[in-house]
Amino acid sequence: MEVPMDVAGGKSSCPDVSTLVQSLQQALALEAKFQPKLQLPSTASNTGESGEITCAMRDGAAHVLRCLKVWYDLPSAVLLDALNMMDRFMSRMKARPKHLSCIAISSFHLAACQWVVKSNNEVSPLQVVPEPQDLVTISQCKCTAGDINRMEKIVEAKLACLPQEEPVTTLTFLNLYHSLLSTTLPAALQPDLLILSCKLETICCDANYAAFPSSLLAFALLFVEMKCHQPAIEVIIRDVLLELQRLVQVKDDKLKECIRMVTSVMAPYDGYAQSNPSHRQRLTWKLSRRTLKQLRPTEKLVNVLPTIEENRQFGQVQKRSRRSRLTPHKMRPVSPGAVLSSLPLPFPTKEDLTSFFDNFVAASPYSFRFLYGLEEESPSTA
Amino acid sequence: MSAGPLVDKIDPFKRSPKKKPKKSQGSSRYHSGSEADLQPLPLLKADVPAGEQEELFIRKLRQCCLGFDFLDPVADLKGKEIKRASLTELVDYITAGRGVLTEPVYPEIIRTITSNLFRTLPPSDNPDFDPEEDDPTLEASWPHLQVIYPVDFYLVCLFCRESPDFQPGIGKKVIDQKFVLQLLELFDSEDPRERDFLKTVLHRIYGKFLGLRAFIRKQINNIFLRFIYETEHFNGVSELLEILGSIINGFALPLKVEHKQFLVKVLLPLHKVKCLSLYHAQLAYCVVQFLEKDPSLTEEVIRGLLKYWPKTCSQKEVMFLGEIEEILDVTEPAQFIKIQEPLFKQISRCVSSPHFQVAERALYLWNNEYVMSLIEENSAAIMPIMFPALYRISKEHWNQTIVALVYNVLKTFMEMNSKLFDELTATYKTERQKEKKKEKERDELWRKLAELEISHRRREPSAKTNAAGGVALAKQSPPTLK
Repeated sequence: MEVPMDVAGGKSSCPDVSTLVQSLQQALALEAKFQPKLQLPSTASNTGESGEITCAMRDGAAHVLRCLKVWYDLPSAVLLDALNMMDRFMSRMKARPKHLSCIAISSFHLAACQWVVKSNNEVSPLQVVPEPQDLVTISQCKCTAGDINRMEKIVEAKLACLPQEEPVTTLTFLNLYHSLLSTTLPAALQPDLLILSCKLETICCDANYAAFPSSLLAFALLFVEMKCHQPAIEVIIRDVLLELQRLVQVKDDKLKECIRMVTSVMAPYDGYAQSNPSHRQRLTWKLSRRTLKQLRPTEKLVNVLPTIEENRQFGQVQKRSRRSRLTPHKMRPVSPGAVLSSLPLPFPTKEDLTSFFDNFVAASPYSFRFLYGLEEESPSTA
Repeated sequence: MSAGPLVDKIDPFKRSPKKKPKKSQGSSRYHSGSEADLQPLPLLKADVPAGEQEELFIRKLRQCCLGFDFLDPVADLKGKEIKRASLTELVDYITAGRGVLTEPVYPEIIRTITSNLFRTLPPSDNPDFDPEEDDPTLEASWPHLQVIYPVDFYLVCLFCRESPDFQPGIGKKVIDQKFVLQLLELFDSEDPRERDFLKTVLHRIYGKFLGLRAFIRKQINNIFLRFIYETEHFNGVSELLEILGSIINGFALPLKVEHKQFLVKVLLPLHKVKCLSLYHAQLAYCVVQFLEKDPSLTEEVIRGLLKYWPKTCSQKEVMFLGEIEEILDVTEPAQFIKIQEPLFKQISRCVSSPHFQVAERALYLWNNEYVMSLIEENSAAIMPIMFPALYRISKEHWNQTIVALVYNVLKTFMEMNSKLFDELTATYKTERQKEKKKEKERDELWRKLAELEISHRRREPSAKTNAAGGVALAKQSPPTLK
């Protein structure tokens, strides 16, 4: 067991470091057990219920979970545990697309429960596990709370998890690496763990992450993130990272491959590329009836008077009136005035006028009440 | 009540159980009674020698100038029917033959029209008329007006048309500023049918008589300004706005300064009147038409709307939000950048509103694809404004529909720009922690002060006065905060 050299000078707190290294070795030993082996097709071979879950679908579900993590104010650990469980489950079971959201939400709920139990043992503010019903409503997944509970039991059974067993994920390794680095590097050079966790979440929301071991992935992220420093300091950092690499037993070629994947996934996040629209959730927008009735003011417009050109007489120019984006809906019967104004030019003929009178004037008074949403006018008011 | 009907009379709160029957709006002319009943004249179409036709025509026209009392439905039924039949016949006669509109006939026709149409509108029977709730009071003399208006319209069309039948320029003599003024005053009628006809007539007059256009616009401006700043009462605003909509649609580019002034000084202040719901559809249409003509006006329009943004009326707020969406639909990206910050600050206030309809309508903006594309291009500026409000509501709002919509918006933001989303989340959390820490420190300070006072009281028993005690307390150094 090697102890990393103290590069920055100052006292090295050996007991801490050795504990950390020990934890690292334990994690490395358990790594294989918790490694997901996703073999999802990248495109949908056959659509519909008998189809398979594709990478894009899985990514979509992962992003939903990410949003839920922010919504309920939970830490990254919950999300990564949930993704880990979900992916391991899908490595073993061939699930149908319609069950994907259920699997995702149940993994999330499981992870949240585990974390809350663990954190309530420590000194931290009491967190409440989000209710399955609440999760279902908010995430707009089309299953019930009962489905979630059942699926949880299935997932637990399939993964053979012990109740208090926390999966070893990339975050575990990231935390360990960070702690190790903080023992050797000065505070100014240490990477921000929160930012790294967010980036790690983004990487894990892309199905390609499962192709690499968790320890390698966390290391690759560190490698990419800690590159942007001045040359003098970069030497120091490189040395420390090399030590870490030796400890974790990461091969160079594998590292290169992983770094390539990490960079391509992070490019949209950092703003160097367009984000992939395939994992966008199709959201339903439910509105109350009262609001639906009056969404846009011009919906109420029955019809519009013909345009009068500014410097010409009405009707002189034969060109069509300007089509605006507003086309009022002709839903209601037309008023006599509108009929009149729409009579053809140059002039209405006697027949037009006669028919107009027959329809609107001669008979019982025109029921304007209908036009304005009132009831039929009784003849006695004529 | 034992006191009986006398007390009821002076009791302001007791309302009569049955609603007063609605009286039809009467005309302000009175049947003098001294004029003889209408004698039916021979039909024009019948074998009447050509020379006499004109004279008979004029006699019939004059006969139709006679007014009737419509308040009493049974009075003079025969006379009313004769007049109505005459009017219909006259229209037939005018439209049928050629050469009937000779020069001596014009003034008579105009006199018939003006005497029937132009009248002082009687004061409203129902001063608390709520246009949305109550039925409109219908004009009592409608059976005659119903025939007169098409005649009027027909004649306006005739005067507009160049025909060998009559000399051009006659129209200008007859349809002058006085005619137009009287027409405009009639727009205040409570009968929607009458206003509808008036709208058509005025539209045609504006369309054909170029010389009157400036005058008409000026008069409409005056009506609107009086409406906004003095009376807040005018029944014909929506009809006038409809006409203006068709005028705005035909503006030539570049827009004249007069038109831009109209937008800023008249159309935008129309938004602040209480009864906006009566004419909001037409008003929004006018505003959007302006912006389609000249997009550079967008900034002024939106700033104007933000200035008049309703502070206490939620119904109006919902209407304003609908109008904002319509405006954004036609906003160009370059213009959007100029107004995005103040606009979204207001939207974030709307989203936080405890009135669920306002919050709902504001959140629903994110369902509009074009608006979304504008937001996405400028997410770096907009997300920081919206995020705190959204995050807070997701935890605090009482209405579950709103919470679901907030999720939609947050998810959309996350998909748009994950990095900024994460940064904002982190910033929000640290700020909340800072606030909580400050609160804790404040509580701590108060606790220490309280302890100091108690300990001081124990040391100095009640012999000392309050003032001295106060001085003594001040001498001690205040607790320092780390």
